[in-house]
Amino acid sequence: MRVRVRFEKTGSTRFLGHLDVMRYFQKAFRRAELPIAFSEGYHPHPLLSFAQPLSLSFTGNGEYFDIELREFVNPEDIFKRLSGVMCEDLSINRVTVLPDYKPNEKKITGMALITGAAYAISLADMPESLPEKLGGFFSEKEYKIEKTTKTGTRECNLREGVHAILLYDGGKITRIGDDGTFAFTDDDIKASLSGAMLFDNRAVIAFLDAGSEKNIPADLFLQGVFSYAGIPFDAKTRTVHRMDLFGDLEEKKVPLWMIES
Amino acid sequence: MRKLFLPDDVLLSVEKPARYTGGEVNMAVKDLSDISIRFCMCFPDVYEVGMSHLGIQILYDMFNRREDTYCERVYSPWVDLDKLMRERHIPLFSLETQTPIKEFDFLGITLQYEMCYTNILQVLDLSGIPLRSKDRGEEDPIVVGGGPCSYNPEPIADFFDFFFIGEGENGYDEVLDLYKENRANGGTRKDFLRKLSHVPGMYVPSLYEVSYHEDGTIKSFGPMYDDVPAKVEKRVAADLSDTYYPEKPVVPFLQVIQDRVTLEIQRGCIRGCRFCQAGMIYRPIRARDVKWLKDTADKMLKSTGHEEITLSSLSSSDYADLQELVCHLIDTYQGECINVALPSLRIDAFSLDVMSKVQDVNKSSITFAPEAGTQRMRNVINKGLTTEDILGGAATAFEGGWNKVKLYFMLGLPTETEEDTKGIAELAEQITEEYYKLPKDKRHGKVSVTVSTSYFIPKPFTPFQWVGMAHKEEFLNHQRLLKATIQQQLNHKSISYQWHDSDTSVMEGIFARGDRKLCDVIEEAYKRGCIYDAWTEHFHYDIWQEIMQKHGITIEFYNLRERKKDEILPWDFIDIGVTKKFLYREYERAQREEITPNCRRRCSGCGAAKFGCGVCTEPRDEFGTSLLYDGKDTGVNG
Repeated sequence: MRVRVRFEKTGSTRFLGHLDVMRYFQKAFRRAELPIAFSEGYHPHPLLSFAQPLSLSFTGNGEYFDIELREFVNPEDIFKRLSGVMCEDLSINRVTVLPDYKPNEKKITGMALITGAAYAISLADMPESLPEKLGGFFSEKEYKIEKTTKTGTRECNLREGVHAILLYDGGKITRIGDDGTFAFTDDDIKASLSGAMLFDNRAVIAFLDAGSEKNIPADLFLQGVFSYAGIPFDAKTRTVHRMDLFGDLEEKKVPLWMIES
Repeated sequence: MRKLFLPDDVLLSVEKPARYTGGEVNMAVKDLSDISIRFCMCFPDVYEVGMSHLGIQILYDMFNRREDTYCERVYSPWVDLDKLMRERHIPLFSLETQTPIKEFDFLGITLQYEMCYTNILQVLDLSGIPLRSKDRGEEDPIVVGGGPCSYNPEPIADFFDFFFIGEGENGYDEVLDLYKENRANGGTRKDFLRKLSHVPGMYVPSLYEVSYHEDGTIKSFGPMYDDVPAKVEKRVAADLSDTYYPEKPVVPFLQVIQDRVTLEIQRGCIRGCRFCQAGMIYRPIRARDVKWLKDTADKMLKSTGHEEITLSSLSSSDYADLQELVCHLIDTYQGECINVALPSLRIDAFSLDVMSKVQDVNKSSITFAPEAGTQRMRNVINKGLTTEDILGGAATAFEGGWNKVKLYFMLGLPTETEEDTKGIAELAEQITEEYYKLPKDKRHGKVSVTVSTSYFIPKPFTPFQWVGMAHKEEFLNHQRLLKATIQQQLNHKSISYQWHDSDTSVMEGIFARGDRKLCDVIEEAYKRGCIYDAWTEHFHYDIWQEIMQKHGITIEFYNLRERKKDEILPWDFIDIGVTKKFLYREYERAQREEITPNCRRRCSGCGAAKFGCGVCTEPRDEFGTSLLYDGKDTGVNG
């Protein structure tokens, strides 16, 4: 059977690299005595596929991996047994069952489905003018910035990758701009802020394009809007919390766990 | 949520920040309000090395079973963090509660190899603890050392408040109870250490004084007070099937060197190789019960989720129930894709059969450790392996489909001649010839033989503790001769040769048999920036040479000279059970090229029988042979 596990990575585990998290979950399935399926060959490896890696020092509430099991286990049991073997700050919050691959079907995993991400970015010193500047940014049609990737530096339109900007202030949520691409409610936002490390309980929430096609990392967004606002940016004075990862379902971007493929 | 001690920007500017954040699976979590003793256990090397060490996991588990004690861990910060901590005056802290080390009651440092000595000072210094025991006050933790290098603690004696000599499973309760009692009675640090010196196995260096002859050798060594014992007898865990063992070891997030369950099947060795310190200090050999091992393996695999299990011991082939255990592990866990990593085994039908079950024969290699190239030399070191054993084992392996052989040797052994060195090349050549004896259709490609050499370093508590170590030039001559001899041979293309760095060996030799005079040298080297000396890229031999010269420490005195029979050796006050008389007798037998039978075949009266356990109490026949003797005079891979 195939399952998709949504997990949170917070506190001290925000300094674990992607490979270490993979190793952690492989061992966790063994501790939970859940029958992982392995690849064939002399060096069998678990059939485990992680969604987008989370940058070091970021916390996350909606992180994902897909895994194949050798036999069917009730998803409530999977959740219970896995939860029983977790360490502090790295725990699961949802298990969904995915349909089995049909013979010869191309294997699509969580990673390939991703088209969006939501971040809560908190600043040690939030400039008073920032909300207004963010509003200004959102009303622009285009804002070009330099984007550096493995293949080099190129210009990209930051504005088109930004679909909603909200302000979170001690439980109050204010919409600065929202083009309606992402499906989410205030309750979704509050729930997925669990584990975030916020200065003054305040954050800028951004819904951004993500995945292999178009990807706006949280810091690129932050640098971009700061440069738009004409405020100097220092990465040391911010925390970033990834609230969820999204994929496309019926013209909307919805959290990955809602997509059953 | 545990608060991290290091600020985010520091963690983000160092390599692998998870080395410093703790929080691993099975980490001990306790409520500090219930705790009266805080013990921090340290392995003075980087996290990935330290977390691979079984001994710390055993002691960590043992301490944490005590309700009044919370044992935490600390490792050497890597050089990148070391630099930042100094620049920003950040003190060293524990992984569990992220508490400064200075707030602990005890700092326990395991001493696994001599080249970690400057890292001990790094840990003390970054913790804000005075480097010398004499400069510490009531507020400082009690600094204790243990492990193999504590069998000659003198080169680092000034840095420790006491050393625990022997096996930690037996004795720490007495130490901790005494500590609590002393504190409850308002006793000072000095009071505690004085009382502690009465506990068997506890060496408090500050209570002993040394005087020297003009030539630098020891004139006298002894306690300064009548109530302090002159001899410190090692502690022994007599029954290894009824003692502490971590059923839930800590599972690191990072990929560490030993990322697997380690099952210690026995402690000690019956072989008596004359160069081997472990073979003497862990006498007598004690096996763990096979049923206990099977149960423990299962519990550890379930509690960790590790994908691999390995067996640990000095000479696994001497474990009586090895076959039963290995077959059980393979049958039980192979279906779960849990790899059984085999320890080094004597190459025979059994070991090749299990190797073919758990390894890819085409890729894996078989290993022999003859240690010396000629039979004469092997008799000197009491390595019972013969050329026939090696060639026979290799032939069987070649028939089974293997075509890669690894050979381990030492250069610079006592009495070694050019013939012995050339013998290494010849043995490698003979193995390649053995391969080409196979009919062509039975061969699997080309044969590959890898010869590795390290330099022989005389160690305390071995029959070679008196010998002069070879000079660096001699090492290099042997190495060049061996390389040239291999090159001249017919099958030289099938043989590759790797050798060990000689400068590190020189320093290791000095530390191994050093005395208290070295404390100044080590402290100065540390202050000049030496740390991580065990890592070739961080080892600065030129600095060490300069400082030794300044302090009048010569290689001639510490390494090259042969010690006299009646010389007081710095470690003579430690009683490991094995007597100095026995060691000297073995030294004389070595010079006569006589071999000594293993402990099971016949007892040689080494002295370890006084502990009344293990092989010394096995039932014997009328010839004095243990009923567990398997008739094999060859140990691990030899």
